[in-house]
Order: sequence, then structure tokens, then C-alpha cells
Amino acid sequence: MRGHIVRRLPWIAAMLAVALAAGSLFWGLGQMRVKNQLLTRLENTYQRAFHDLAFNLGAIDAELGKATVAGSPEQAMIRLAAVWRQAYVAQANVGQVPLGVAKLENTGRFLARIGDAVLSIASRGTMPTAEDRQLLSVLRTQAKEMATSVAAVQATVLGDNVRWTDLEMKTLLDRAPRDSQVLGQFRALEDQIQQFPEITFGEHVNVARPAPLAVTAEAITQATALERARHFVRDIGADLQLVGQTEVLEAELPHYSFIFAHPKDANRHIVVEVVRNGGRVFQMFNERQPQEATMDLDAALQRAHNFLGERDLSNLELLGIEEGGGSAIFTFCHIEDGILFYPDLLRVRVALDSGEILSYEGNGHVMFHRPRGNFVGQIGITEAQARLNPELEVADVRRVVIFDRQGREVLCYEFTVARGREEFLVFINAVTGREENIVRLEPRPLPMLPAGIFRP
Amino acid sequence: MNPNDMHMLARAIYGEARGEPFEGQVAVAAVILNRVRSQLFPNTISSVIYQPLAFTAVADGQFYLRPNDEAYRAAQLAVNGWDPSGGALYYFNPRTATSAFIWTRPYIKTIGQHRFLR
Repeated sequence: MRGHIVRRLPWIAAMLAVALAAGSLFWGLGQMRVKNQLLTRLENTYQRAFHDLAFNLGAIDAELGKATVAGSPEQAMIRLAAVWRQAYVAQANVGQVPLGVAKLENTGRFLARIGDAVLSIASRGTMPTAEDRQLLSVLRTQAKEMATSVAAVQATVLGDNVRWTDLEMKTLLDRAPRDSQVLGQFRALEDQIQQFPEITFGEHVNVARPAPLAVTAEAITQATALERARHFVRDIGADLQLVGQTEVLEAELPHYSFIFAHPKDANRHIVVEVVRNGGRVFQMFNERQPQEATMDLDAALQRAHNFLGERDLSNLELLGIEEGGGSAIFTFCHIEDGILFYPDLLRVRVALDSGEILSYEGNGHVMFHRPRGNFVGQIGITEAQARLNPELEVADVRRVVIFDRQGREVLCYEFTVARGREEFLVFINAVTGREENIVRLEPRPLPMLPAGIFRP
Repeated sequence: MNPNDMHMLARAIYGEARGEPFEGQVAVAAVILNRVRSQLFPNTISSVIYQPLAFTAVADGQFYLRPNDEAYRAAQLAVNGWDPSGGALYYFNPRTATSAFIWTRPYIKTIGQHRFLR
């Protein structure tokens, strides 16, 4: 019986091999079919983003046209709002076209600016002024050129059956643009936008990052910066071993960066960053995983105050506390004559197991804290309060300095108001009476500013 | 900040920068937030993270790994204003980068394996 099978072994083996090969082939074909289906679905999402982008640009052109023709403030605002909506969606679609993140920078920037500008004009609540119309007219000319260019790309995509997934692969492999007409056309569009004449947006601009007015002192040397850095972390140790240092010139804030070895933990290091102009420390890391919390927030806050006080950082008002993961982040700002200066922000992170200072950041304080002239209001509290929505209950009011939309520091009355169970801050300009901003307080045990809202 | 945004940031940190120095992890999250704030990029955290061709960890699925405590601690600092990247909008790992273009952007600094760029 065994000999029977042994003689047939080669046959059995051969048949098994054929069965395996045939099975693999069918499996492979099945996989390829699935792959092509998935690829088609992906292709469809990219096509959708692109064609919608073309539509958005055309719509921006059309709605801008209608806005300039409108005879009533209401219709003008409706059209400007439509432009804003199309610009916003266009930006989202730009982000979904797989051309690589940097290849549509100018397009994205243009869309952002146009969106900010029309929103700002619409927010007047009245007919656009003569200057506004001039601005809209210039924006329209440029929007029209962009719409025409992208429509041409659309024609290529449709006519030549271009597949975005192929372009995505080319971009990933960094092939030269001349391999694809479409990539070349987008490069040309970016160049075209680059060539647009500079537009004066005037007040219709949203300044996300005001210029750092406090960083004007002389540049210090790396050696001096190192001394400042050592002094800043002297609590950790007197003669910390320096394991790295660099000069960072291209950063938003040119600075020196130092890395020290932690004296008690080989896996841990301490980073101290010192601004080149003026030599202030603006960032420090001394991080570790905190253990079980043993301190309460008041004690931790005291540690934070001590830490800052020992470094000549005083006249600070606590704005908020964020607790989590065994540590607490305290946010402070400068206070003077009872006025809070929100641009001058500092934050300290304290470990709740030992009270150790884990991290410090003073970007805002370093960039903006400086002697300022007196901020004088022209409107009293009662008059300012009269400008609030009458349905609100006012819980508190204080004077603060914040950035307005154009990036200027303005004195405001900050009203803490409640509406139902929600709390908000409403800022009324103490000079013009304009409602500058509204901030929603996140409902927590300790009402606080949403993190990062006033980060420059 | 929506707590779910924090989860996404922590995932991005873990996928892109686990094993990197702590400040390098904060820097990766800071780049994402810098992009959200920038006019040149999409306006939400998720659309920045999911932008095609932006982050390799998102493309290869590492983004779906569960982040560790360190990633959350780093995300929390980035959300609260810490930025060790110097305002960077781009970063890459020279040893794995395939794009030639990325080397042309203004260089800010290096943290661990990552070069941060404007």
C-alpha cells in the first residue's frame, strides 16, 4: 500500500503544485480586482475635490461681481458672505487635491486673504465704501484669472482622462513636472498668483501674528546666552553637563537652544531656549512622567509663583489652570494698574507629585512685554455695558489689553457674561466702543480661557 | 480645544515621532497647529493631519496606533502654546525623506531625527 503511494508521489506533488499555482493565480487576480476598486474610489474623492475647487473659484468670481452691483447693504452682505463661504470651501478642497503640501501655497494664501477681506467688509453692516469697492474690484480681477486657469486644467483633466492617483504617485516619487501637463499647469498657476500686484487690504486683514515689539534689544552672544540658560535652571543643579547647543536664526524668534543632561536621570534632558535679542529665556523643558498626585492646585500654584518670582517675573495675574496627567499648566499674564495685558502671556507646568517645574513658556511675554504708554479709555463702564447684548447677565468686568483683528493692542472692557448656563467674555473697546471679540469660557471646575486663544 | 482634537494630535505625535526626544514630539504637534493657524494650509486639525501627502504616518496607518502617555503630555504642551520648532510649517527625517523639494525650504533647526523648516 505504501509503495503504491510512494510511486505516485511525484504525480501527487505535481498536482499539488499545479493546484497551488492555479489557486494563487485566482487569489492574485481577486486581489488586483479589489485593489483597482479601492483605487477607483480614492480617485473619485480626488476628482471631486478638484472639480469642486474649479467650481468654487468660478463662484467667487460670480459672487464678487454681484456684490459690486448690489444696491442695498443686505444684498451686498449676502453676496460677500457667499464669497466667503466659497473661499473657505475652496481652501478645504485645495487641501484635498493630492499635489503635495507645498505646491498650492499661493493659491491657499490667496483664498484665505480674500475670505478675510470680504468677511471684514461685510461686517461693516453698511454698504461697502469706495475703498472697499476698489479692493473688491482688484480681488475680482485676480479671482477671475485664477478661475480661468483652473478651468483650463479642468479641461486637460477631463480631456486627457488624467488620474489624480497617478499624479499623487509621481509627486511621491518626486518625478519632474514635465512628466505631467497638469502638474506643470498648477506650477504656472502658482507663479501667476505670485506675480499678482501687491494688494493693500487696509483694515480688512486678519493679523494672526503681530510683530514682536518687545524683542528689540541687542543680540547677545552664545556664551552669554549659555550663562542665562544655566541661571534659569539653577534649581536643578549648579554645574549641569551641556550636551548640545545650537544657534537658531531662521525661527520666528531667533534664539539659542541648549540641552543639558539631567544630573539624576540619564534618560532625561533639559532644554532651555534663550532669545538672541535681549537674552530672555522663552522656553524650557524639564519633562518627565509624573507619578501619583500629592499636591493640591494651590500648593502647585505657589510653586509656580516662586519659580517665576525668582526669575524677576512678577506682576502676574493667573488666567487659567489646565490639569491633567499628573500635572497642571498655569497661564499668567502681566497686570499693571489693574489692567490685564493678555499679549504678555506666560505658562508654567508643575508636577503634582513633587511640585517640580516641568516646563515653562513665555513666548507672549518675551515678544510683547515692554514699557507702554498709558492706555486711556474714553468710554466709561456704564456706557460700555450699554453696548452689550441686553439679554446678557453681567457677572464681572475688568479692563484688559488685547489684540484687535488688525493686530493692534487695544484697551477693552472685558465683561464676563452669562447666558443661561454658558459663560462668555465680551470685549468692548474702551476708546471706540466697538465689540472687539467674544470668547466662550469652557465649562470646567475653574472657568478659564480656552488654551491658546490669545497666543500670538 | 475639543478633547478629541487632543486625541488626534497625540496620535499624530505617536505615529510620527515616538522615540524622539520629548521636545521633538511637542514640536511635531506644534507644526500641525502652526499649519492650522497658517493661511497656507487647511483650517482644522483633522484636515491638516489628513491632507494627502502631508504625513507619512497618516499614509501608512501608523496614525491608528494607540498613543502612549508621553504623546499626550506632548500634545497638551503644544495645545497650550509651547513651540520648540521655532514656528515651523514643515519637518522631515533626512534618512527617510524621498522628496528633493523638502530640502529647499528655509531650515530652522534639528531636534532628534527631524529637521524643521519654514
